[in-house]
Amino acid sequence: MRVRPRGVWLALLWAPSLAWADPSPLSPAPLPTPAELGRIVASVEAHRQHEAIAPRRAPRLFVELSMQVWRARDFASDTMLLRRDATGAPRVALGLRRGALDGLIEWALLLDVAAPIASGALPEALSAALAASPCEGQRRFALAPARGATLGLSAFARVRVFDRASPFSVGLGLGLSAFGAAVSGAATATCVDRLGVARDTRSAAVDGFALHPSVNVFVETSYRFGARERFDTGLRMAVSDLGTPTAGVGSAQWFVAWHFGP
Amino acid sequence: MLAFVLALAGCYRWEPVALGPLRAGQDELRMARVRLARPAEASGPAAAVELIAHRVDAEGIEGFAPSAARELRWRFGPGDRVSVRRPDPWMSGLAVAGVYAAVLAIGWIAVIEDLPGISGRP
Repeated sequence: MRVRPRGVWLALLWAPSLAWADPSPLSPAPLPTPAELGRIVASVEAHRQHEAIAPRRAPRLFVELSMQVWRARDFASDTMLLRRDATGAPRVALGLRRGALDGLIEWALLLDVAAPIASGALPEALSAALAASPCEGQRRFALAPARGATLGLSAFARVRVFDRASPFSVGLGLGLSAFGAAVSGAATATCVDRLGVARDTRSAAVDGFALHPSVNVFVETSYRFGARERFDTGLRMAVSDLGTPTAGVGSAQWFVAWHFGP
Repeated sequence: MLAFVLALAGCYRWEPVALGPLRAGQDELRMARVRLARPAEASGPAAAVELIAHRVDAEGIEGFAPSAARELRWRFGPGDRVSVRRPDPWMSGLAVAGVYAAVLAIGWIAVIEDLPGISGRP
């Protein structure tokens, strides 16, 4: 084989640049041993816990928007029988929360308003008049229109599910609320016989304000998401009128909250 | 568990990672799925790989490559693009909020509206 001097010179000139060329960045590596893998997993988990707990240390304000649905319920006052319809209404709440027990538990305080709540009223005078006149058939009512709203103050304790870094939590709350309604108009009661013919129609006007306070217990579940747990969404159920014979599941809420602060 | 469910539902996104803080050990990428890419340049060929990161140091990153079914090391170079797969906060929030909203809707029908056949009433 004949070696050409020009070829040797060319090879010598190119050799350094070939050596400096960046090869593929990939190369084989040893698999981690089970013990090393266990250490990596434990270290990553510790980091995850630390990152999750950090935003819970300082108190944070939050705004909560929700849709609340109620069961139909009647409330009696001196001047009227107030009926809250089975209805839904938007609700807004302002809250303050703070973590405790190294992020495992969280305390929260909420002040909320829900409105407008569809309701109606039957004046006490009409109710008394109807009691004095029996109806052979069925009574049909057209209640006086009312505009209702609920104002509430509640305190919650929330616990993370499974571990403290979990985005899911369950909570228990206790609160006071007041359902108020402004009533203005006339209510009508019609006695309809078995053939569907209206026999007797009575009406009475009512103008006033009715208020119904309630003690409530809440059960909730929520999910935190976003950087530094900035948002959460959840579902809350309220057992209302605690300590009265009508105590029971009164409402439910689906909420989204924005937490601001450090 | 949750990460697995959210990944199945597609509720994740690829977030770019700055090379400087990563090499300085300020970013925790271990056990995360990492995408590494080197654009084609005069200095070398283009390359890309996806790894489940196990070891990260100033010089490179080591992890299991599902496509090659073996452990590989990626040596950092200038111009490398690194991104990590993390749960998408908005998509995961929407998915969970959707489940909660559905529970409220069913609860409304069953308990509050008290519909026959659904709420246990004949």
